[in-house]
Amino acid sequence: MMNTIFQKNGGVRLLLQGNEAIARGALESGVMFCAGYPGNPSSEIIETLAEAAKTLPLYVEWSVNEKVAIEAATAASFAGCRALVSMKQNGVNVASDFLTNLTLSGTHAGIVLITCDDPSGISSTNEEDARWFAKLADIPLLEPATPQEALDMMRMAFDLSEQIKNIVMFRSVSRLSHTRSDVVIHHLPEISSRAFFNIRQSFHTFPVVAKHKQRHEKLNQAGDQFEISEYNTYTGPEHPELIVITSGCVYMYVKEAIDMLHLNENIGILKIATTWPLPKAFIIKHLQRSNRFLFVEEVDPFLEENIQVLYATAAGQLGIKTFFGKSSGHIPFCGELTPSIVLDCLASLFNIKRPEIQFQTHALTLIQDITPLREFGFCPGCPHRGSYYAIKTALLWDNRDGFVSGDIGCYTMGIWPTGFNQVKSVHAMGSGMGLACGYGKLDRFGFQQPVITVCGDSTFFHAAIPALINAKFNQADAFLVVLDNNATAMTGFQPHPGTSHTVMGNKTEPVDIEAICRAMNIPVSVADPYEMLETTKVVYRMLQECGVRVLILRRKCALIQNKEGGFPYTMKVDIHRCRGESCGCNRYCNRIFRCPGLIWDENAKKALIDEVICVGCGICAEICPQQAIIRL
Amino acid sequence: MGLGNLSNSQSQISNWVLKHNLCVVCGACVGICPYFNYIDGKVMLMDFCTQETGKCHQICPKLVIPDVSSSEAFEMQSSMGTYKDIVMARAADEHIRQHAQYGGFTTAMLIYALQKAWIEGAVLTNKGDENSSTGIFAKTPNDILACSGSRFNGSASLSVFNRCLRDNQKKIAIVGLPCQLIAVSQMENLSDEGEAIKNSIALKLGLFCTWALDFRRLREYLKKQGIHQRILKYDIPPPPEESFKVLTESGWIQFPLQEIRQLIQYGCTSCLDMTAEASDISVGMAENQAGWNTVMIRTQRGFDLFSQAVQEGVIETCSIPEANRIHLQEASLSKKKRGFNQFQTIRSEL
Repeated sequence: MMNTIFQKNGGVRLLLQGNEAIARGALESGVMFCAGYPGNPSSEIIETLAEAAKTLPLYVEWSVNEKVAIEAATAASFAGCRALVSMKQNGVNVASDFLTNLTLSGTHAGIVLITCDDPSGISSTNEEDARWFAKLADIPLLEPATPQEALDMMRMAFDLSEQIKNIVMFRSVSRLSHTRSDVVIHHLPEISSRAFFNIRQSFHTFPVVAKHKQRHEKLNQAGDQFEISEYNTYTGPEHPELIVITSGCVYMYVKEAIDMLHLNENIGILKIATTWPLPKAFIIKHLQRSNRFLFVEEVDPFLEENIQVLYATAAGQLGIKTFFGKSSGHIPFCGELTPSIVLDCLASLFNIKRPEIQFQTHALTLIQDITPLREFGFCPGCPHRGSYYAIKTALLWDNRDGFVSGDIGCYTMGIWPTGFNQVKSVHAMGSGMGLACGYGKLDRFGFQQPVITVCGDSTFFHAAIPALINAKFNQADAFLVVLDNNATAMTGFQPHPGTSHTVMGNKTEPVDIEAICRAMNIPVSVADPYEMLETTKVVYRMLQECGVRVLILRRKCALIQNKEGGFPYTMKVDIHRCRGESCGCNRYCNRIFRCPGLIWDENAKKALIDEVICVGCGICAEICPQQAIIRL
Repeated sequence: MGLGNLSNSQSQISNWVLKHNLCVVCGACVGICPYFNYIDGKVMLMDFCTQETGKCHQICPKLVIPDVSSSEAFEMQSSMGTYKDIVMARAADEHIRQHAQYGGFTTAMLIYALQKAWIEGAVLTNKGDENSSTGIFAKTPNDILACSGSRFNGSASLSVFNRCLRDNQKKIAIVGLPCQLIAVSQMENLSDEGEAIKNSIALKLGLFCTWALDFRRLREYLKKQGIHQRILKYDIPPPPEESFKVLTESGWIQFPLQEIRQLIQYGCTSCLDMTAEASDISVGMAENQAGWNTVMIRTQRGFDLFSQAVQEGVIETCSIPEANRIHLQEASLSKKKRGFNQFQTIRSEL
């Protein structure tokens, strides 16, 4: 049965996730080519479109990284096919080198860059506002507030891109991408275009100054359209005591807070959905309504700064205004906004008491007795636990204060006890290996510590390869351990070049990591992280070697193993052998090794297997000093 | 070491012995728990243990405090501990002597004790490969023969003894350096399991020792000298030669002993025991008598086995020149004084 999201007919009301609404909006806009790299909170956009590609005529791919994704999608635009590229905020950094040149060359068919920002960095290495890239690259920026707007504004984005012949940026945030709400969908168009690159056209950045000028003209065109956009609204009294200027889904928090505080007669809301370029006249018109303004927006003071600059150009006419927001300390600079934060802020500005129900504290009191404290941890059966245990042991054996240069994936959790706190640095995709290039040349300055770089299989393809080539070229002393779990596990098992299928379900020949290393004449070994002692010996041996060398620790992600039929063992603790807290053990398995499947029987003072949690990978049998953990 | 506040058994080893580099790699603390590992000539603390009444600090030889107040208290007469007899001895079997460092006494005694079921096996130190030597539990004459010859570095062979205890092995022979036999005595004195440990030991053969080398630093040194091959044998010829020799596949190579002395384990400098006083029988080289060992019979158990072996012609003996005995005594006394003073210095620096 066809998924109702992809039905041809419009006028139907569906319950859609924000990312599904974005995908539907793209389909309604006649998108033909979609590319991206997985990353929370953006991943469902490409996944939904890949699902659509089963029945609709479009092409969808997970690209090797975001820069390649935007380049691939741009080719489609050049050839006259509407294209979409989707990523999280960090991905925009990766894509930005191409982006800032593309916006000089211009585009042909409509192309939209979707960034899903992750305020609070809930599943990111940073808290970053990708909107600055729109300003940096002189391109239009749209920020929907609701799933319905997300769907509707996609068409606006594609149409605008096609009119001004430049890429348009479309910004979502976690709460919009992952919320669900009812959305009215529209008809899907018939797609009739044929991909064709008109050789009378060309796309390059020269002459640079002329193209730069043209880019600003395109931006001005967009600005003109934004002045009359239906998505920019003012609601509230004619002359309120305060106007909240907001964008994106925090608009909903503002509405809710005003309602709860019964300040509808006192506060107006200026909602800006086209945040770059600013609809200047529209904004100046509304600045006349009040003398006090509060900016509420997610992550950086983007509107806050740009609108204050705009105000300065018209201050003579507007008179003295007071602005509140992040700069004034009324809204926090860091961390995701919540309705509660907005409520607190408005209450303090009006010097009134906020309603007693505090969402977070109330929820906490309700669950605190029934929810156990939890720390970040690898799943039971996770090969990374074995890998880090082996790395930790080998580094201690080596005894030269060695450490791990980390990267991005589930294994980033190596910074925490679940990975024995081995990882000492994590930044961007592939950066662990880049850092290794530097450590590997510090010997001339007396640096004698061994460094192990870890990166996952998907990360290896994404950005570690150039750094590995650099290490080889510059003869760095670098030891890369590829934690190959055959999955882009952290973001939800998206296929990557090392897996044997694409997102559209086609079989593909896996790219062989060993072969890549061998082609560079880099020695490469393979070990199984479930064989921890053997792996430890290999890591230790390789720590004594010099030059660039690669060790692949290969074992499928525990969740994939589970899907493929599960694990071979049922684990049991022989309580007669278990030494418990006494000398010779001291709860080694659940105090040091800490697999969540290993628990402590407070009454018997013995270790215990949590049968619900344990998947039966069997690796803990190797670490028990008494051989009391048994594989049945 | 970044392991938090260590206020327990383990901390006495980590804060005193390991932190101040006093570990002599005897291996007593290795193999009783997962918290200490031995590899490649070094003992490492692996994880933080909260055990407050553990064994490790009770058996570590570097946590034994000498029961004298000044180095003047040491006397020539007692500088080699108590013993019943001191002689020169060697293996009667020429084949054994060929493999041996000196007279092959240890190898011959162990093979004899094994054949007479006096022991079921022996805790020995193997020859190692590109990594350091390690302990093994030798249960056949061939296993024993394969271990003959001196090592010159700590190899934590007591970890193998610990494993034997875990496996309820009986009639164990231990061949060890003075520090290792001190650790074994500490184990035998443990209040709860000491008696059982004592009963599982059939023979303690101690090896004379002036110092041992830090294996990793030695390997590094040899690498810098261009030696990457496996070392088959080490030797320090008697004075006045002042050299250290290693045998590789391409023959013997000689290094100035003075340079090698820089690689002595720091913990050895505060050692008071040269002749392995806590053994049944102690064995060492015989000064100016190539192909012979100096042997000290210390206990009744040692005496009985030794006499039997001599009677049955496995061991040949001759009396020790008085000058040799006096030299040994002097050397022992000077090690005691030196070691004690160094111990006091280290202690005062902490």
